[in-house]
Amino acid sequence: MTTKHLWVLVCLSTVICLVIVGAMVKAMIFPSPAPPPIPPTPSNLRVLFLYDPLTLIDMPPAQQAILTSPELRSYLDKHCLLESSCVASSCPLDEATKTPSYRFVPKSADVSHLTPVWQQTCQAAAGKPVPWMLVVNESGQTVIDQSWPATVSETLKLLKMFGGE
Amino acid sequence: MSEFPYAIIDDSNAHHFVAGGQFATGSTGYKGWRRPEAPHAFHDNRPIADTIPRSQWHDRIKTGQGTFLSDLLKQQKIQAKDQDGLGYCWVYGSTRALEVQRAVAGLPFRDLSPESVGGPCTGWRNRGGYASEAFEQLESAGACESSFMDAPHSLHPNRWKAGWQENAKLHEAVQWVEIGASFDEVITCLLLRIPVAAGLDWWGHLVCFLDPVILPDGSVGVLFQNSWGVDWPTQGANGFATLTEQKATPDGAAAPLIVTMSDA
Repeated sequence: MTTKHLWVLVCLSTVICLVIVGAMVKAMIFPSPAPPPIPPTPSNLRVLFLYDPLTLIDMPPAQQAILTSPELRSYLDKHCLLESSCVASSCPLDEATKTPSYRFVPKSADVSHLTPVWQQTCQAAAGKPVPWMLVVNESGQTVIDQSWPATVSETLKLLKMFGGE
Repeated sequence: MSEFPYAIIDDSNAHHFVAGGQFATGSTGYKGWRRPEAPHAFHDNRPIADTIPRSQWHDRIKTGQGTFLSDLLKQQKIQAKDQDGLGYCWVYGSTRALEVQRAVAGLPFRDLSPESVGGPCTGWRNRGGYASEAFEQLESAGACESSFMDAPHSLHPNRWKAGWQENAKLHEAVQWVEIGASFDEVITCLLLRIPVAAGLDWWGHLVCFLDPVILPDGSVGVLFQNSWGVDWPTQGANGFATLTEQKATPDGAAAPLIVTMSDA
């Protein structure tokens, strides 16, 4: 390699370095605008929590909190399908209200007064060891079919995987 | 440290809350379970297996902070009932316990009629009763929505809208347990998020117990909701107050485990 070739190589390397450094400085001084936030997509989940009131005492306290956590209920209120409270001819006397589609069902409860879709959901979880949770998305696909997580925050984390924030 | 947010009823001030007292603004109607004239037998149908040892209470209450039954009621903005002159506390508190268990199940809130429970027990007369009496009726026939009644507190079912009995069948206490004079059983139920309709002989009253609480002196007490309207014991308090162990140890009590799973 001749001296001339070396000089060409040195010059090229210098130019490339200057271009890279220039781009970095530009990015620091004039940062590109952040991408627009992704709008939350309606998740329309159907969530069943199956449990046994007679064995609640065997459940760790942090897991028991799942049963009545307002934080979890708020999430479910926002991310579960709203459906009519009317079942066959049994409607509230007042104007029918819509209810978010989540239920905490004792495993021995008679679910014949619930809507057919809820009866099917309960049927799908029948025979599973309690406490069990089953989540179906709006396409009717079962996305969660497992024991209750250990805590409220773990339950929320799990639900957010399929229901979004 | 923040101030304790609820009235505390203990031995020193209980007299304010009984008939003629400063805060006794409502009717009662609970007949002492163990009084000789009590017609109702105690079935000795024990609650949830074992009781939770006292040594675990404080930790469990702290772990569950913010996730007990009163938190659910507050989130759903469920207002205190008001028996307003009727001696029907025993059905008001018991029906509230059923409504709470419906809320736990995620069922829509329905304002249920205590009169539809007490009326059939008393021949539609205004008289006192017991938790187990109320729950036997709730088990066999349920409680209809208040909107079926012709007027608040009406004991004239012939004037109610047709279909109230069918509607009541959608709101039954399918499975329930009796609790004796045991504070340990009460706290066990409340730690497990099971509401307790608790008869208190010292008060001649029955109220709905909701949460186990640690009182300012470090002892464990009970947060309950009364059925004397939203402005008891103070304006806007929504019926919430606390009892010390001595005052919260029931004379007899009952708790719903499973209610009819019905959206209607």
